[in-house]
This record gives sequence, structure tokens and C-alpha cells, in this order.
Amino acid sequence: MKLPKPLAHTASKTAFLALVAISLAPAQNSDFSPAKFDVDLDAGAQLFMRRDDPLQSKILNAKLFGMHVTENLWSHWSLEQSFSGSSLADLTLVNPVGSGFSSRVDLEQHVFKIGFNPVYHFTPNGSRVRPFVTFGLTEEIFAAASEGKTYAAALVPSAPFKSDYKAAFNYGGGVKVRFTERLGLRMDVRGYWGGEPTWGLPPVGSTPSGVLYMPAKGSLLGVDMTAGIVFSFGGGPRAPKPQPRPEPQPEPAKPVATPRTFELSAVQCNPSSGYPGDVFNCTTTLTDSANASSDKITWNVDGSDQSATGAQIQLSNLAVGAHTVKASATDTAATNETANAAPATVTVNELPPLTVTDNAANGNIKFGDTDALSAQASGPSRCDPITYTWSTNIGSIRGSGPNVTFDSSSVEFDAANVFKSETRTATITLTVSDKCGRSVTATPIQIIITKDAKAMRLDDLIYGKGSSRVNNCAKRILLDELQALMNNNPDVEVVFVGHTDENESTRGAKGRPTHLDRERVYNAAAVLTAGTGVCGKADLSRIKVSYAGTTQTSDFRSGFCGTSSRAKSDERKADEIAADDAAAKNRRVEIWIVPKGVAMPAGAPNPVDAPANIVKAKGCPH
Amino acid sequence: MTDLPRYDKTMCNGRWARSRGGSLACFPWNVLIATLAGGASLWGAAAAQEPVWRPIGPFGGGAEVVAVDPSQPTRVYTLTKNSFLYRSDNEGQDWTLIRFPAQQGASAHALVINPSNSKEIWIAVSSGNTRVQGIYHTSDGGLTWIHVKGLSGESVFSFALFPKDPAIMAAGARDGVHLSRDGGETWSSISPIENKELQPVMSLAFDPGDDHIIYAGTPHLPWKTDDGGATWHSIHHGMLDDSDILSLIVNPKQPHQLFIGACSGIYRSENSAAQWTKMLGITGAGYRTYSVAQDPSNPNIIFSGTRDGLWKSSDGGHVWKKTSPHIVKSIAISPADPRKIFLATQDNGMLRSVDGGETITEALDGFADHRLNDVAVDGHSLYVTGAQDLQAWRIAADGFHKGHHAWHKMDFPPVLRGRHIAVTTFNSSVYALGAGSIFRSNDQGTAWKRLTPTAVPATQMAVLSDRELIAGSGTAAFHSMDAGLTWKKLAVQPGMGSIEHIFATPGSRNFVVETVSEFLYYQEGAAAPVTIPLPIRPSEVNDLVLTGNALVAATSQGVYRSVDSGATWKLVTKGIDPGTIASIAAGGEAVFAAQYGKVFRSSDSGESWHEISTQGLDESSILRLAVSPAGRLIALTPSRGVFVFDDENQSQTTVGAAAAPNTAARGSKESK
Repeated sequence: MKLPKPLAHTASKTAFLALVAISLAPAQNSDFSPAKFDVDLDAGAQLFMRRDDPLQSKILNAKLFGMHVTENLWSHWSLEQSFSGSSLADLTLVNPVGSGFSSRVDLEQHVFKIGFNPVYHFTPNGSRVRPFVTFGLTEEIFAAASEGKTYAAALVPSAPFKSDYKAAFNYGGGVKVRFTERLGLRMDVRGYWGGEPTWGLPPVGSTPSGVLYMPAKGSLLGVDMTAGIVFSFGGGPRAPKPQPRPEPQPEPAKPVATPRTFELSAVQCNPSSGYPGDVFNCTTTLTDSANASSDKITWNVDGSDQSATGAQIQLSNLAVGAHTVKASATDTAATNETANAAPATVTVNELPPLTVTDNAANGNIKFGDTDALSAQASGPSRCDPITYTWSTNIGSIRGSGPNVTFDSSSVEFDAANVFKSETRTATITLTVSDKCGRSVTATPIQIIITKDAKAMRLDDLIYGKGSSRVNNCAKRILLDELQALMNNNPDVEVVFVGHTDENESTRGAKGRPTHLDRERVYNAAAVLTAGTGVCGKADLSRIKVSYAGTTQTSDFRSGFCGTSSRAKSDERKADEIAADDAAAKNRRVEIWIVPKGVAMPAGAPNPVDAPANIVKAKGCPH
Repeated sequence: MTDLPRYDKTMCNGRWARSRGGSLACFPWNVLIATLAGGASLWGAAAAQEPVWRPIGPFGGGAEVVAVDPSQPTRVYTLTKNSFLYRSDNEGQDWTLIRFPAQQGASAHALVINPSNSKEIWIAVSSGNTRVQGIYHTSDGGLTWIHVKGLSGESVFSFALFPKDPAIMAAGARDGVHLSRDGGETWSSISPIENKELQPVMSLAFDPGDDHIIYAGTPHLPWKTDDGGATWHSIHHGMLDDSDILSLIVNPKQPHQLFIGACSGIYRSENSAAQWTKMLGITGAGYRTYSVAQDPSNPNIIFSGTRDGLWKSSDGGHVWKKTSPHIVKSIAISPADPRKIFLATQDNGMLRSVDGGETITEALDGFADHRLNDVAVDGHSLYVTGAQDLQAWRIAADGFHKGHHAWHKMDFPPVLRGRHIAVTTFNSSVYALGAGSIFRSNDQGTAWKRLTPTAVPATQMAVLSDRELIAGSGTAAFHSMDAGLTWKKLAVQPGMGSIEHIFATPGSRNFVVETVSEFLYYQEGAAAPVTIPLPIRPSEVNDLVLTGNALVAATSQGVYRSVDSGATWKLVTKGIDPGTIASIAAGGEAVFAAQYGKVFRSSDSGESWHEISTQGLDESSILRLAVSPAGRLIALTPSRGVFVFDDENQSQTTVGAAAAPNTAARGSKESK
């Protein structure tokens, strides 16, 4: 069969453009299951190029039938075996050499080809469209047909026309298009370059005239254009690809097949944003048309599985930042089917800071005084109320809230130095906390508390009317109280201030003038210092004295001895003091203990040293 | 090893004190010695293990109450006048302080042990501080104490448990008798508040067989109730009318028999106080009877603790024998062995007898409550003078061994005896200031030489070197360059007040005179002193040292420091709070300061401070700090004696180590 030149030319161009278009088409992956091997049956045309020789020999075009078997070894690479055979394709010698020949001789033959090719596909196995290129080896079999042999033998008996075999390279490409898992089309254009067959005919110039000659040997080029049907076999699992859920297959046992619905709604969180410490409620809804009783919902926050297993979860103590909340449902029955909900995001924002400042109104106070403390705290209103916690290392805090009072009355000072000026520093710490569980400590406040040195006064010594005798109760004050204080505080001075009542006589024994205020002081000093008998042995040089006479500048200080209501007794009648003796409080000696640098008592601004000669002369008074 | 005298450059810049030291004293011998000895600094060596404060004495002082544990008779408790509580577990051989909440802050009067549970102890105290006074109770032998509610705020002078039911107890307070029948949980006043004769209650006793019968002793004779306090009546028949009842006991086996110790003597009643008989035979001042005790195994043996010592009668009070001269405030007889007797004395600490009071011995180790006055330490000895009993002691500085017998009482010239004495040391000479004169001893206090003539009165002293002395009194200060042979009156400021103190630096010719109104800085070569503008009153400066180039003052307000020879001063607050600094001492490269309950150390001449351990001080106040020539820190406490900040092993490594002044005495003054 001969194809007209324009038609062949047009077919070649069309095939080429189709090949290019298909090759440039975007790859579509995973359209079908990958095939292990393809088998295609095809048909087309076989073209050989004209030989440019004096004989104008050529092989006429012919129809072509064949098949390809392709093993898809890898996703893109395959091995192909091809088999094809042509219809009768005449070897035409337009100008045969030798006498007796007409101007044209046609020798009929079939051309068979067996090829072996590696093939590269531009798209992966399983794609709907698979353009490919190939290059391989072909064994070309030019099988002389019986008519050709007969005709040649008739023309030149000495030069039989017989079959010939030539190896050739083949090259070309095409495209496979699958329509179903098993069926598709294939178009193929294949060129050949191989040796030129001679069919047993002698070459031109080497044989005598009258013999059918073949042109000089050279190469033979040819082209096959085929199209056919492709059958794909041995397909594996299809590559994953989002596909519409296949309709569940109705169970054959059920007369009416109902599709199962098993899905979770998107997670909803309320609120979706908040602050540390907030509680976030997240929910989802499970829809299951089948085994709802065996379904289980699980939660995951930021990749961490949660213990909650219901349609709702409460999230608390989330850190600042964004958190992803996921839910999934599993049918714990045999199917173990799962459904995932669209996740939600919970955002925890950072709270505005809690701050506090504090201060003391004075910062430097006297022992026993108070100082006002105040604080200002600020924070987000959602964390109200703010709690104020005050503490101090010494002293005490009165009140609560932002404004309190520091009370120094309980501050302890060195008990060994009760008569010395002393200061201590109170360090006050304020911690504020809010409802959000935050707390902050303010800068400590320091308050300096000064205890001034001051004079101490003991209970007064009481005397009987007209008497300067130191009674036993007074001796207890002098010997057991005052002397101990003097021992413990060697830097203090003792001041005795003597008093008389205005109704007491100024005349003593035998009518001699007497000064009871002085005598009372002298006797008190002697009891304290004489060092003999029951008397103490205090240092007389530490004692100063003052005589107030009937002046009662200071109040009477009762206390330890008070007054006595003892019945009158002969034993100590001069010292008896009646409870109703209103003047007893005027017959007294004040006792002052005065530290260094402290002002003397108001009633004795300028005391003098106790007169040693007089006091010592008294010995230890009874 | 013995502390070696140190002569070094640092010494010259060390503590201000009345001390001595010539130019040779400033040679850095210590560097040479330390280098040769290869010694390390005391404080560097101490860093490996924190030292604790160790009490070393002198022991003794005033004991007020003593009691024997009835269930464990080897255990004895004693309470001092200042409420320090001590316990001995070996019949008084040594004593351990038990921390008591009112210690140092109250006067102790009674200590009673529950006879049914000896871990229960009750203590009654009085105080000018209303938060301290009242009754304290422990249920665990003194580990923890409770200030008993209901009587807190009351000065309590006496306390008694009903023997048959210790949940019933009575307390004698300033306003009368209070009774509790629920173990001290609640109290009720059971004596008429308007009866001034029945207060304060200084002694108390239950009738052992009837808790409704209570005896109360007051400064106004004894009182009795037979009906649980509903009515009271005076029980003074047979007594001197002006009798202050100091103690009262009931014979537990014969409740009708009572004894009373009063200011007028000891009395006995055989008819439940209906009639008293004065027991004669005790002479002198012995009639002022503080305590009475009866031998539980022999009622005829009676002890009387008086102002004139301990008296014993073996015939029921007819004949008495004086067995101890010391003032006895309290007597306890061991129930297990009545021959063992413990005595709390007013001035001589704890005494004991193991032969029924026939012979009395001291039981002082570990016991201390006497007011001390001054401390000085040199390379050989540490000297302490007492304010309370006007004595002085010396202990060898060879490690400061604990123990009463390590101390030696010092003797002074007659004019100094019975006087408050200030001491300081320099180059192993000890100086004493008292009776208006300065004395020196070169043999650790055995022989003394008077350095100041009559014309040079001295109530203050400073020793600058072996030959250079400063004496001050009134508004005059005197200077001697020849060890006291001749004196020259120093220039003074016009109108200068009386001298209160002299602060000097050993080895330096500069010194500071504190008057009642200002500080005068005498500098070498200057014609007249300059006034130092310390920003506080002079009376509030407790100490002053020169360390490095800084003057550092311990004041009632905190540490003040000057680095420009006193021209300007700054209150130091770095590492140390404002507040009274009781004392300050410089030693080597360190300065130490004592603040209430704390001790601080500075390594940069007082610019910054850090607190050091007070472990072992048991909250004792610090009266004065000193640093020995070997660099050992010493604290003089007001009542508990001397504490050494060290341990015995470490003392072996300190000699010749740290740079330290050769004397630790502060500027001294004579206490009147």
C-alpha cells in the first residue's frame, strides 16, 4: 500500500504535534492503580525513505500491525518488547539495470520487526496520560514474499530474490492514555536506522548486464507510526489522594442499605481567649448513625493527650500563648473507625503586671509612737481585690489594707541596757496579692525607733510621823530592788529626794532642830551603802541627794509598800502608819535612777553628792 | 600556746584605747612573725568551719532560786536574779543555760517543779516591762515555754502548787493572790484588792491536806485563808509588827507546823499559824531571813538562809550554827539524799554541800549572772572587772579554758578594793583605773604601782605607749611622757565640759577626748585640739576605733565613719542597719561591731559589714567586744561573762597569724 506523499507528510506532522502536546500536558498523578505491565495492540503505517540511486529503488509504504509488551519496573522506567509486521511492501526498482527489463520491477515482501527497548515515561505509573520516549534495538526481517520470489526468478533466474535480516536502532516516543484501570490508547512514532538489505540481489556494477541489480549498499531509514489499544495488568494499591468517600457498600444481608454517618463537628471553645487562670470550655458534637454507644472522644491540646473523654473539656492553667485544641472520635467497636474534628485555638494573654509602692509617713519615731504606712498597688481589675499583707521584724502592724499603722510599743530593746539610749531599725515588708494568684513584694520600709534614755522612779519610801527610820518594807525596796538595779547598771546615778509633811515637828530629840527630809535621805543612803548588818554595800559616790522639805513637787508614788493599817504596836510605834493617815504620802523619800546625760528629776534639778561623813556616821540603821 | 604580743603597723592603726606603744610598736613585727610561722589569718582559717561562741567565765554571781527535780534528784535547776535559768544534771558540778523567754529582762522569784511530772516547771517573774512579767510554764523540761495567760502583765513574786493535785495552783502577785484550778488555764483573784496589807504577795504555801487553806506572806505580815480565798485574816501573833515576810513553808508531813523567814528573823508555828514563836540564836544580820528549809528525813534539822549566811539547827531551832557566810536566797535539799544541799546565794553563785550543810563548796562551772564592768586582753592574760561584786579576775590567754578554776581573782591596792575598776593592757602590763588614780602592774596584777599623784585626778585613762599616758578628770586632761613620773596639763577648749571618755589608739599619739558636749581630737604636733563634729550627742557614742585611715564610731544610732580625720561623718548602712552599736573593736584587718542580738564584721575599715554567727551566745547581750593579739574575738556580756568566738583547736593556729593590736582594751573610765 502506498500512502500519498501529502497524506504521509500530514500524518507525520499530526503525530508529532500530538506527541508534543501530550508531553507538555501537566502530569496527573495517581489517576489509576499502577500497572505492572501493559500490552497493547496497534496498527499504523510503515514508511521507508527513498533511496537516491540510479535505480531509484525504494520500499513502498505499507500498513503495519503489531503489539507491545511493557514491563513497568519502576514508576517512570519500563522495558518494552515489540513485535510488528507489515502488509506487502514492494521493493520497487524504477530503473532496473539489465536488458529485457521493463522500466519498473516490484518485488513483494513483508517487513517484520522485533524490538527491545527501555522506555522512560514522563509521568508516574498509574497516571492517566503517560508520554514516553524510547531508544532500543530492532531486528528487521525483510521477508521475501512468494510472489516476489517468483517474479524475480522469472526475470533473472541467476539472481534469486530472497529474505534478508538487518539489525537497526530504533528511537521514538509516544503517549499512553488510560481511560479505565485496564484500558487505554497508545500512539507511537518510531524511527529506524539500520543496514540496508540486499535480498540476495547482486550490487550494481558487480554483475553482468541483464542481471537484476541492487544499488550499492548503505543504510536504511524508516519510520513507523502506530496507534492502538493498551491493556494494563497487575495494578497495585492506588496512591493516596483525597477522594470523595466511596459510598459504603450495602451489606448483602440487609435488604435496605443505609450509609453510615460518623463525624465530629469543629471544636468550639468558650471563651476563645483569656488570661492565665481562666477556664476554657471546649466542646464538639459527635454524629454517629450507627454505633454511638461504642464511640469515644479524645482530646489533645498542643500535641498532648488529655484525660477527658467526653464531648466537652475544661482547660485551665494554660500558659500564656496560643493553644491548639483537637478532638477525635473513635468507634471502639470492631470497626475502630475514627473521625477528627476541626481544631480550635485558645489564646491566653499575659496579664498586666501587679505593682506596688509603699512608704512610711515619718520613718524615724520614738519608742512607743506609731507611724503611718501606706501602699499603692495597681493591677488589672479582673484580678481584684488586692490583698495587702504587712509584716515587720520588730514592733507590730495595726490594721489591714493599703493603709496601716506601725506600732513601736512592743519593740524589744536590749534588756541589759534599760537606762541607755538605744535605736533599732524595723524592717517592714509588704506583699500584695491579687485574685489571679499573683503576688509581689514591695521595697521594704525601714523605720528607726529611738528609745531615749530616761530616768526610772521606784516606789517611794514611806516613814512614820516624825520618824526617819527606814521600815522593813522600805528596806526591801532599797536592798532587793534598788541595789540590784545599781549592780546591773553601773553607769547610772541614784537620787534620793526627801520630803516632810508640814504638820511634822521641826524639833527632834531634846528639842534640837531637825530636818526630817534630810534624815530620811541619810538613813536611806546608809541602809543602801553601810555594808554591815543587813545593810547593802552600794557605792555611796553614786548617790546624790536633794531635800524638798514640805514641797511636794512630784506625786506620791505608792505601790510596793503602800501604807499600813497595822494596829498600833509597842514594838515599832514610831513607824506605824495608819491607812487613814492622809499625810503619810508626804513623809517620803523619792528614789530616782538617772542615766548619764539625762536631766535630773523636776523636784531635784540640782542634787548634790550624798554627804559621806554623815551617812557613814549612821552605820547600818535599824 | 600562748598569745604572743603583736607589734605591727596595723596595730598602730587599730583600736582607740587607753594604751601604750612607742615608735618601736609600729614596726611590722607581726609580718615577720607571721611569715616565719607560716601562719594563716585567723579569719581565713576560720572560714572552713564556722566558730561558735564559747562561754569561759568568770562564773558566779547572783542566784535567786534553786530547786531539785523530785523524780531525778541529780538534776538541779537554778534561776538567777536576772532570770537566767540553768540546769545541772550532775548535782551542781556544772551548769548549762536553758533559754528562758524572760532572761535578762525580768527579776526571778519562784521556780516550782510539778512533783507528779518533773518536766512541768513554773517560773514567776516581775519586771518593769509588762509584756515580760508574769508566769511561764514548760511541759518539756524547758525546751519550750508558754507565757501563762490570765496573769501576763502582772508581776508575780510567788507561786505554789497544791501537792495532791498540781492542777491547783496559786500565784502571789502585786495585787494579791490568784488561784487556778485547771492547770493555769484560767485564774481568779481570791484576795480583796482593796486590802493593801495583803499585797504584794511575796511568798505562798498550800496546806498539804486542804487546798482551801492557803498561807500568804507580804511585806505587811502573813495572811491565811481557810475557805479558798473567800475570807483572809492576818496571822501575826507572836511576830514583830513590822515584819516583811520573805519565805513561808509548811511541813508536808505535819501540816500544822509552819516556818516563816522574815526581815525580823525566823518564826515557827505548831498550830497552823495561830501563834508564832521567834526562833532565837541567829545573831548579827542573820535575822533578815530569805529562806527556810526543813530536812525531809529529820524535821529537827532546819536551815535558815539569811543575809548573814547559812545557819543550821539540828534541834528544831534552839541552837544555830553558821556554816556559810554568803547571803543565801534559796535552799534546796535533795529528796533522795538530804545530806546534799544546794544554795542559791545573792553574790556568790551556786553553792552545795554533801554533808548536810556542814561544809559548803562552790558549784559554779557554767553558772554566771554577775554584772561585769570591763575587759582587757593581752598576749598573756585576759582581765575582767566586775561591777556587781567589785572584783576582778584574770585568766590565761592560752586558749581560754572553760572552768571556774581557770580564773584567778586579782588583788588590788587597798584604795582600789571595793571600787569599780577599769582595766587596759599594753605590752603585757595591765593598768587599772579606780579611786581617781591610775595603777600599773607588770606581773599580771599581783603588784601594783600608782602612776598618778594626787594633783592629777584620773577618772579616765588612755595608754598610748609604755611611757605615754593620758589621764582625765573633770575638765582637765593630763599627759605623761615618762610612765607617770611627771604630768603636764593638756590644752583644752575654753568652756569645755567635763571629760566623759578618752579614746586612744595603741601606738598612735593621736587621741580623742569625749566631753559632755563635744569631741576633741588631739593630734600629734598640734598646739590645740580640734572639735570633731560627730552628728550625735557624745553621750551616745559607745566606742570609737581608728582602723586604716578611718575613724569608726559605735553610737546609739548606728555606725558612723569618717575618712577625713573626723571632719565629716557618714552613717554606715551597707550591711548593717541603723541601730545602737553597743561596742566596736578592731583587730588586724577586721573590725567588729555588736548590735542588739547580732555581731558584724567589716573587712574594709568599717565601710561595709556582714553578720557573723551568734551561735552559742544564747541571746546574751554584748557589753563590749575585744580582739586578742592573736586575733581572737572576745565578747564581754553584761551578765554571763566572757565568750570567745572560737574553739579550742583553732586557738592553736592563730598565734602569730593575724595582724592585730597588742591590746584589746577600750578607752577606760572609772565607774563611780
